[in-house]
Amino acid sequence: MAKRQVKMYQVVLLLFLSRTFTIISYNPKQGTSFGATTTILGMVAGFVLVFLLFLPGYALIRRNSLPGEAPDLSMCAAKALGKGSAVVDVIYFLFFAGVAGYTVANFELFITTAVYPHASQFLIVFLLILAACYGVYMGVESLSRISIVVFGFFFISMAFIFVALVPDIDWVNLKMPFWSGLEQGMTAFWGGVMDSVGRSVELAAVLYLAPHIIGDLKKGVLAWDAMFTVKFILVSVLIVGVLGQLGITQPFPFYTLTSMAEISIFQRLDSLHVSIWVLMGYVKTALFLFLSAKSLSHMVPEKFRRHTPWVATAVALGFALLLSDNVRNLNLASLANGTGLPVLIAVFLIPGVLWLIDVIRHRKPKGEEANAQ
Amino acid sequence: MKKMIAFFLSCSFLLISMSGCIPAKELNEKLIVQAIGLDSEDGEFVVTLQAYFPQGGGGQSFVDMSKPNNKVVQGRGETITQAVQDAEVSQGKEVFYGHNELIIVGNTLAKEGLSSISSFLNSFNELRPNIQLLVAEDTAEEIVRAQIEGGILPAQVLGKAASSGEETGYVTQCTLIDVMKSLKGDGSQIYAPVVETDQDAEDKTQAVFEKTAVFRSGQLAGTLTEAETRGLMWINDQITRANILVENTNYGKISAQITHATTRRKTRMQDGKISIHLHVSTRAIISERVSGDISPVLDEDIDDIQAELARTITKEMEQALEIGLRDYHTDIFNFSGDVSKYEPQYYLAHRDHWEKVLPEFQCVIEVDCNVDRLGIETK
Amino acid sequence: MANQQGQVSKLFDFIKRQYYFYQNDKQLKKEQQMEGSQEPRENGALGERLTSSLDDNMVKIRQLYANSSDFVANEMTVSGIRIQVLICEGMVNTQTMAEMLIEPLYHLNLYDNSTAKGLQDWLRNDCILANDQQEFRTYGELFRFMMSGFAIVLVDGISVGLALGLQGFQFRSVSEPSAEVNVRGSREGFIEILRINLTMVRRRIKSPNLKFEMMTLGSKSQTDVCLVYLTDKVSDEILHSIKRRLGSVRLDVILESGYLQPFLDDRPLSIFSQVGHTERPDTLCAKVNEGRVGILVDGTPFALVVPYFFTEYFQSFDDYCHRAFYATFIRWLKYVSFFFTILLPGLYVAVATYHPELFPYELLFNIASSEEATPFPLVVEAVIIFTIYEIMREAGLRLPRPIGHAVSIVGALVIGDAAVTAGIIGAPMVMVVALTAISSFVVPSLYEPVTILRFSFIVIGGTLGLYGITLAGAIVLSNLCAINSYGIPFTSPIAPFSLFDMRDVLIRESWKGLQKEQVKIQSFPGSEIK
Repeated sequence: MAKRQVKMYQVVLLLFLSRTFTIISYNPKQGTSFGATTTILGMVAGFVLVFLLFLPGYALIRRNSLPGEAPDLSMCAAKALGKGSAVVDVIYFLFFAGVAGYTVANFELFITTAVYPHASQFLIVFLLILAACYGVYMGVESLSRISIVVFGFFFISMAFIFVALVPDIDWVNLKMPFWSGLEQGMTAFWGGVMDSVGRSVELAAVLYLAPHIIGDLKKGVLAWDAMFTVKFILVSVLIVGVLGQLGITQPFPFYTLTSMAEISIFQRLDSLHVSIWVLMGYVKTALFLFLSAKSLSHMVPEKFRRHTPWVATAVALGFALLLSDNVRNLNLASLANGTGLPVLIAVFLIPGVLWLIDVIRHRKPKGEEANAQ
Repeated sequence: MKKMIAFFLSCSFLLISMSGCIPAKELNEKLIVQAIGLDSEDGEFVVTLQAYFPQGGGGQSFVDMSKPNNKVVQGRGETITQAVQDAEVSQGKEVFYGHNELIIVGNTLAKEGLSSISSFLNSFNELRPNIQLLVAEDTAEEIVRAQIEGGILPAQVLGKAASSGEETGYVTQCTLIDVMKSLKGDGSQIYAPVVETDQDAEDKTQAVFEKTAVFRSGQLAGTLTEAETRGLMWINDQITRANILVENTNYGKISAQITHATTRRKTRMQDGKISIHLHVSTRAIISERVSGDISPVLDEDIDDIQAELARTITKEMEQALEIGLRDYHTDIFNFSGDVSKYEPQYYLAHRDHWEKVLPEFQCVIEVDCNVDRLGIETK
Repeated sequence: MANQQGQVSKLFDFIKRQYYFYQNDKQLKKEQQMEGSQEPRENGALGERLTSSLDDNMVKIRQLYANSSDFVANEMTVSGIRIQVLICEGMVNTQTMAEMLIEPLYHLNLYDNSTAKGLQDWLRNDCILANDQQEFRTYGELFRFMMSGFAIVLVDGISVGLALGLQGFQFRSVSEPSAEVNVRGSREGFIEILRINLTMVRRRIKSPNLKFEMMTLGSKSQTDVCLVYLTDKVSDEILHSIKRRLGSVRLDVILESGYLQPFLDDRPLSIFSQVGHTERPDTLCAKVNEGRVGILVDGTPFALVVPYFFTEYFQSFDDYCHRAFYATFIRWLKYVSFFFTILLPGLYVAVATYHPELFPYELLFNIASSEEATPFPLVVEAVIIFTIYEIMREAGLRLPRPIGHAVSIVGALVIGDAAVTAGIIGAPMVMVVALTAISSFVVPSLYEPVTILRFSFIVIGGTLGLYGITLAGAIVLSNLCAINSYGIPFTSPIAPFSLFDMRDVLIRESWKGLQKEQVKIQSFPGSEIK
């Protein structure tokens, strides 16, 4: 098993940055123009649900852990399914590469819409993925250390935006939950829940990072869950409070906020904030490329393992180019992601099934148990 | 060694291919626009741009403020983008909006409706959301072309005049974000300062802000006078500083400077109608007294002065409410926000014909004015 | 009386030279114990042992030394026994040799002990230089001692030679270090003589735990290299690793400590070196006190320090002499200067080309005015001006001092005035160059990586804007965070983060606070070393 290298707090920051990266395309609307505060309630419910989703995977890893060593999901699948675990490896290899590609494609859409309208789509995608591939070769330790630095920049950026814009919040825009009626309210509520769940692909990342982590997985995931829930609630309040109805019509309302944030001579710093988001995008893409390469490496012989990052990069690049080529493709992917199904399958269903199989297969017969007693 | 060569070759390849990745325009290829004037003429958009045009050049790094450092460029088209392109072609530089300070809408276009320009304002990434929007008394072109002295570019002087005017309480602020919020149907209506040009005593052009344009559903509905404008600002809690003139039979004219002002609203249903209670709290200092009598203002007179100030503020607010709700039927006070928050059922029932129910609103005004300082004169 | 005074002063000089020597037995044992040491297991003729025949030895020596003109051999007969005294011309203090060796030998009468062994015993035990000698058995050792300034005595009939410490070669006196100037702190800097450098360290740490471990590297140069560490602070793993890496050095000559640096780096290709260097004995002592190992190399005043971390580039000896608040301010100034010197030109080019909205409009107008008539794009301007700057800087370093002033005048004229007036570059670019250049000298130890990064960021910023700069920054950060220096993260204690250790990173806590827990590199966050 891999030597434990990374402390839990570093992983929490890494996953927080990865999850927060979706803030660029985040909109608190959730299917209705009246949903803002109800959506926030949904997020609180989503916080609980996200943590519950993690439990089967956590139970599986804990069940297969040795003192001082923890397996990843692939190793647990190998134990539960034997050679059949290759299917699990393939699924997660494609899943993680898909997440990386989707992330890059989404980011490319944002960059070419809001920042560099005339830029080449291909090269924006290619550069980010190439840089992330380099990050994969530097290792998970390097990635987790970078996340500390990037988190520092991110915190300063957020503090600036909040300090600049909180005085502009019109509290009238924040209405009572379910004010527009139960039906619409439930849509918004469920939208908030799905937003929490559907974008929490990082739970699957934890299941593969377990061997590298020094610390309590459960506490770490809880901390991460709480951090991003609080963060998104605050951002929702800001978007709705400052932009009101306008925030709903914007594809990138948070970017609109950054371009409005000004304190004294520090004006129009949105390009600097975008730079910090680029760092976050780099961290997230590198993380998922690393995980994709890790899944692949379980399937290939030892001598080919050092090339797995390139393969993962190529697959992720393919996904990204496919999605960024046509906005419709990206919208379809977003819709699919928004249903929460990919996360449910990767985080809850597969680990849950593996846990069950592991329990059933390695349960001692009743006779043996009686003898042991 | 091979790895080094491969590394350098790939870097070189990347750099060569990346050079066209994000098209670069040097600063001398950009037209730095500071003011955009939008007019409508014969079904076409007329875009007038005031841009920075350095008079120095040739390596000099300072801006010579004694020279007019601006150039006015105009273009026409069926869309604003077409009109801008027309303007670009005429002078060969790419328009850069990143430092645009003002958008001036001509009177005609304002009457036709701002929704025709909302797409351009909302979707163009270079325009900052908090730039100011002004309405021209006549055409926007006249304002953009006016050579107002006092800054590097006339647009800056105009922008500063509009910003500082807010502090007197006579000139409102309207930003792009306010326009977009209103056009997207959040219930509130747009109001923007009206600007016109005039000649001062030295026959130099200056900007004058005496009115406020009021919109309904994105179209110009009318204007407010100075006093009505201030009443609007009182109601919307936008007063930061203001100078109020009160007349007291005992002490003549007194100029009181508002140092702090807060307006709170309470919305509730009363007898089936919406009642909005507006409570204004202010603090003021006596800055000047004009009277034949040289006696200073005394403690005993504070109550009278405070009452007089409160009456003045109340009157301004009533005037604004009267003209806004009953004459123009426009919700420039964003009552829709309060009603939707505190009486959501009423709002949902009436939001499609909101202008019609506005005159039925009952507004109760309560003003508390505290005079903190009486000046440095003593008896 | 005068003669006696002269003798006393000579004796005093002689005693001073005692500092040059080590106990012979201990040194030989250490050399033999080093693993994979390259150390003179001399091969071939150099590894041959001396014979008891003086004539045979002399023939061999002349053969191996190839009749080099600095070889001086004096034959003498003492009590009927032939001896040879061998020196390298100019390396030995001839007056001391004459007074302390030759003259006593001339007057020596061994009486009943007039044998080769008796003479050898007299030289070993009774000669005034008895405390200052070493024995050797091979030709390789003979040459090493002779070329280190020892006087060699070979006795006919004895197969062991004696090396007597009579060094008298010229060397630079101890002066203020040129590359590390501090306001406070001592004015002593290391010089080229290893033994004198060791005394400077020893005088500052008067602890028996301070250990000097000698080795010889370089098959031809036979350079003396000394490891300096505190036995109660250093990690055995680090020490062992250093010795192993030094043992893998296969160079012929080692003329500067920089030759050894790539062997000690964990990632030699990384932009930032994981091996520090210093010219100051006080700095070296401070580093050694934190559990690091100092490496002194004979022939160079620059000592190496391993392991070395990123945050140390911003720490200087002066920080610990000033008051805490001022030291903190200076520390932050260095961080800001570092970012300026790397990023300012690239950011300026990127922002002016792709994101001019970031400039306040007054500044933008000034820049636009200055760039209006310049012929080159900003990125090309930046590359030109910084290349000219580097040329001038390098020329200023290499020029003889009397002409050096001309460089600064030409630099000011060429870069400053003429280029702007001629319209080749804009005035704001000159400002950027000036600020960048000054900032680079705030942290001089980082000059090399900073220069490379600066050019990279200029080109990337000019082609890809802030997006490119950010990605490049992410790559540099990845590289930095991936480095482990002897099992301790290079970016520690920033990443992995330790709030406690920020007391000497983000701020400089006062000594009253710092003394509560002594810094030990093994306790840095993420350390795999115990």
